[in-house]
Amino acid sequence: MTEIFMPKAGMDMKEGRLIRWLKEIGDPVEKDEPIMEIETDKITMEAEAPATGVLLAKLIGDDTTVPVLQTIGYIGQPGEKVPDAPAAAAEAESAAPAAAEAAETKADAAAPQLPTLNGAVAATPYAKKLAAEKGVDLSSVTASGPAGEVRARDVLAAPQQNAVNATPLAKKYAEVNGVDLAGVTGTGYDGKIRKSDVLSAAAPAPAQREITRIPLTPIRKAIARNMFSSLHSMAQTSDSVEVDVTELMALRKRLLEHKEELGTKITINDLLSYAAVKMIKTHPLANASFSDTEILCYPDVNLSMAVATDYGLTSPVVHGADRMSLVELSLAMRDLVTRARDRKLTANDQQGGTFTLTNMGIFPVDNFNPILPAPQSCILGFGRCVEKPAVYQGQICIRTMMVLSVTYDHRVFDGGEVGSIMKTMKEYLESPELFLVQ
Amino acid sequence: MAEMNYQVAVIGGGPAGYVAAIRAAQLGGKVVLFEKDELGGTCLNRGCIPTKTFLKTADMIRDIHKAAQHGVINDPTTGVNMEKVVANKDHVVHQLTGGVGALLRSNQVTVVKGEAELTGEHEIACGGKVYTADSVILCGGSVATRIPIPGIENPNVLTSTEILDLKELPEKLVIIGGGVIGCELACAFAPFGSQVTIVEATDRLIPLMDRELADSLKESLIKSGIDVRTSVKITEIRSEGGKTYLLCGDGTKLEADKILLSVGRGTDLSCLGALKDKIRTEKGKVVVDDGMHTSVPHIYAAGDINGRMMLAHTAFKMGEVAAENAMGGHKTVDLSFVPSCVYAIPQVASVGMTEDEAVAKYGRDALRIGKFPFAANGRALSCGEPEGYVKVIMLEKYSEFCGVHIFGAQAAEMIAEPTALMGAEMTVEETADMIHAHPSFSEAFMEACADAMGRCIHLPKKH
Repeated sequence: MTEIFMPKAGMDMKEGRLIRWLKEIGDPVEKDEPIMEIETDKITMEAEAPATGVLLAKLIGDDTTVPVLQTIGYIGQPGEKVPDAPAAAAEAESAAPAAAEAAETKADAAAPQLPTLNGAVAATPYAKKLAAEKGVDLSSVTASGPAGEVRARDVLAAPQQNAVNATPLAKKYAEVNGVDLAGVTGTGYDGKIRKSDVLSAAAPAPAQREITRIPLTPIRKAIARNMFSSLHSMAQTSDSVEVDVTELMALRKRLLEHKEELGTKITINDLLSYAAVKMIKTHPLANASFSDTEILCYPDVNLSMAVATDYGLTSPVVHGADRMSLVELSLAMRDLVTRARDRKLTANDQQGGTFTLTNMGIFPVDNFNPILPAPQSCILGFGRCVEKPAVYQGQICIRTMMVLSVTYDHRVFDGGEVGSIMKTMKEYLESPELFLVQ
Repeated sequence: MAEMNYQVAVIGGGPAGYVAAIRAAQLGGKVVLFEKDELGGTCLNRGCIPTKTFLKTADMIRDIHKAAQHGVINDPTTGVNMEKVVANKDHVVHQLTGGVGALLRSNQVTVVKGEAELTGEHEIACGGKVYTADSVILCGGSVATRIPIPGIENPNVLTSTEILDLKELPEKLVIIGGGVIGCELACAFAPFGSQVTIVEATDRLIPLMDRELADSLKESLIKSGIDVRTSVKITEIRSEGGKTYLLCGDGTKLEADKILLSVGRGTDLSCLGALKDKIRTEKGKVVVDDGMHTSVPHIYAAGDINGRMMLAHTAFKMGEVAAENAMGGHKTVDLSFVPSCVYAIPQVASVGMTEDEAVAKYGRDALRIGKFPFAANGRALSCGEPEGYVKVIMLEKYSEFCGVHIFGAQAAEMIAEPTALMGAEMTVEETADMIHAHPSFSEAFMEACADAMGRCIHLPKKH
């Protein structure tokens, strides 16, 4: 009669799961024929019969996890009587080594319980004898004895480097590089492990490329804090609409021709900003903020502009933008942008904004979702001005188009108001005379 | 037309081609092979084999000269009858090419005599007929390279093919090119009685082999009476007063009855035919991967035509792999451990990396070089062949063979052992422990391994 053990399929394997038996009790089995499917912590595999005969007993059922080398069944001749199920399944050992160990331990009355020490390795006498027979290095064996001593079953379970199907050179590479051949898949004849197999097993995982760590500057920290708290403290919602800015571009071109008399080069951003400020006249909720008890509508339009600089995003403020002419607004904004880039903004320049504009037009960006600078209720974003086919006066023709994006605090006003804001802005930008006369 | 459809068509009946045809047939393919000349290719007809019959004659002459030293009483006056030398060569060649034909017949390969070329991806024209095949294996081989020097068209300038049919021994033979072919034929014609000069443009003989062996060979050839001139270029071949002269770059002038041009071999791409622009080539070689696939699906190229390694034994392996893949397999060729032999006198044989290559790859400090001279080998001394040595280059950390280089009488036979051991990934350490027959030349290899390990018994202690 031969015991069937839960196999030990690797150095680290402590227990295995019997997924299912492939044979029924009484079935004839051939040695090395798969009789069960087991699962280790790494793989699922079939395990073979240790002997030829019939399957006499299954000591555990399907889907059961047991320690490695526990007896889980018996193969023998029909009619053979199976021994009583091992009393302590967890302590199950192969019967022969256990018996021999017991015998030797008894014989050695001087040290009946203590493992014999040989060099640094503690092992039972029978384990030592087995190790010597099998040429197993005891120091390489994982001990399972209660006092940390190597027991016979450990020697039996130890992977035998010499028995591994590998070329001498592959063994040498494994030895020098500390590779466990048990974990290497061989590509040579009949699965023989070759040098290249060891090398690919030993190859370190692709080197982790260093993460670049950029320290946070105070402004970066402030931007991060403000953006995050803005998104978390307000009911932000975004909308966008495409507007035809062909007329606006033409206006800008005409104004440029008069830059001497005007004393400034009017930019498209100046015109967009001026139109937005004028829009607020009829939409005061866009120049407001929410407090827990009421909505605050501000008497002045303090126009905040998002300005990208080499040290980060700033939002200098044009105070009283609603009282300025187009030329005055243009000059004020240019002054602020210049000072922002030269790091010459004062504290006052950055305080008191009631409404914000952000222009992504120098980039290939159309529609985007700006984040509100708390506590403002509205931010308008301008995309690029780009020529594209559009329907104009019933004809498909090339027009200069731009997407207007808005983010607003839904606590302050609702979609209807935003629709109205977009309608006004669209009218103003498509027929610039409408905002110029305001 | 039905009989003109094949699974595999092989163009060229040399070592790559006939092996490919036989292997494809073994795998159950219906195979046709086209050969424009004789079966066996360069190897059998004009290369490896015929030169070896010449070299055997040379060896015998050398033995006769040395016989007195071994106690033989004889008349050491020798000479050759070139007609018989050539006839003997032809006999051997005929026997071997006949053998190839018989092998092809026994495998039911259809052999078509004639020049074949591709007319489509699955279409080959030969002798006015068109054949179709699922897969085509191109084994067009190579031809001797000519160099553009004035006077190269002189009728006394011969290629290796022509010199093997010379019925009259040239009194003065100048060999242009000190590669394998040049050195081997020098070692044949010098004992025959020709006054031989080798002119090599680079600074060394057999440029692909380990430099130390090349230097040893040069020394040996000079000792045996061959005039070896390295770093010398031929600028012109001129006829003056019924005589032929070679003008050299160093200002010297060499008289020659015959000139052997052996400056290398170039691929023969004529079989590409209509697909010559479609099948990718680089520097005149058909580009293939390790499975011998060309850039066109179902077309393979094996042997010299792909220029990977122009040796008959690599061609055999490449032909076999091409055939396996043409029959649906997924095989690749590994050319890491290919032995190379020069059948000069003495012989030169190598496998693996040269010392320069190993140093470049691992650095000198990582290597140990073991060397054992035949002068300390009992068998070599008894045979009167004390010249040469075995050199083992070991990567110390792993006791790994990087290369083995042998210079000596039995080098070409001996190289099989290191080749097998390296292929099997045996270590130098274990090889040094293997018992070798005594006395035998092969002991020298074991001793060289032991020397690399620093424990050679039969060498004086090193300090």
